[in-house]
Amino acid sequence: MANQRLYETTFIIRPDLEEPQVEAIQELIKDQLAKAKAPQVRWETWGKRKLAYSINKFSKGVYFYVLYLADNTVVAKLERTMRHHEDILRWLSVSVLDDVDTDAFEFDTWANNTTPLFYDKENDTRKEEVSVKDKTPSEKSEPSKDDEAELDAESEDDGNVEEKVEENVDAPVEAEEAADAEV
Amino acid sequence: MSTRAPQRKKKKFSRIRRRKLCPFTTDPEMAMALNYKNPNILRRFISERGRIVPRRISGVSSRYQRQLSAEIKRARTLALLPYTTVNY
Repeated sequence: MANQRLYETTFIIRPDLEEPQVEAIQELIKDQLAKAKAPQVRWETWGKRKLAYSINKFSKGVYFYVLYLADNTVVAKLERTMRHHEDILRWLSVSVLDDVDTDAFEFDTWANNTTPLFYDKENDTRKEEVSVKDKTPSEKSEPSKDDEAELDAESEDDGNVEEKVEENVDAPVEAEEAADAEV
Repeated sequence: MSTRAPQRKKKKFSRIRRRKLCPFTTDPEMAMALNYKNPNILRRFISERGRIVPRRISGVSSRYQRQLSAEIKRARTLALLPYTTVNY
């Protein structure tokens, strides 16, 4: 049991459940991890988000995320539970680290390294939270503002040619042909 | 005619400069953020229809394009990104 893997599982549940039912599902997953003696590193509630496409005719879903140390049999069992659970719409398990030494594992570092909650255009309320998080240099937090600034800088550098490329691959060729025709 | 000739030269010059830099190789922080849980960053690399932008257009290096496409597909599974934006 010394060496395990670090897994992360994200799952989406129905948006129309009552609070006790939501709690029950969370407990179910937590219990199962506890029974399998898989140390839970971090539990996150991402909350209700708009889905990019509808799943089972739901346009929204409540997201949960758990990071834990386990081996593949635990993940298989967990996924089986989620598959048979009616209220869980979708799940995804990803192996983050391979061959983790359980004794040397830095639980605190990983527990504090929370997922930066992404800025969602539909739910504008998170905007301030994200911008505050961006200022603190944590490992995974990505300053989205900087990206935009970078993009702007890039497009300024290369001028309109780059924009053309992004819009349409054929556009520069066409422009060139047009130039040829003019000459 | 005389005014057009320099314009063509300029065009050629700008074509040389068109080579784009991979945003992930140039910025380590960006590479760190390349993750399916960061759909807003991934969104820059999908088209309006939800398709993954080829790297000949986005300029992403081969290594990160492979990683990027995997992360986009993961994000799609979790409905963080669309498979398509039409016909559903």
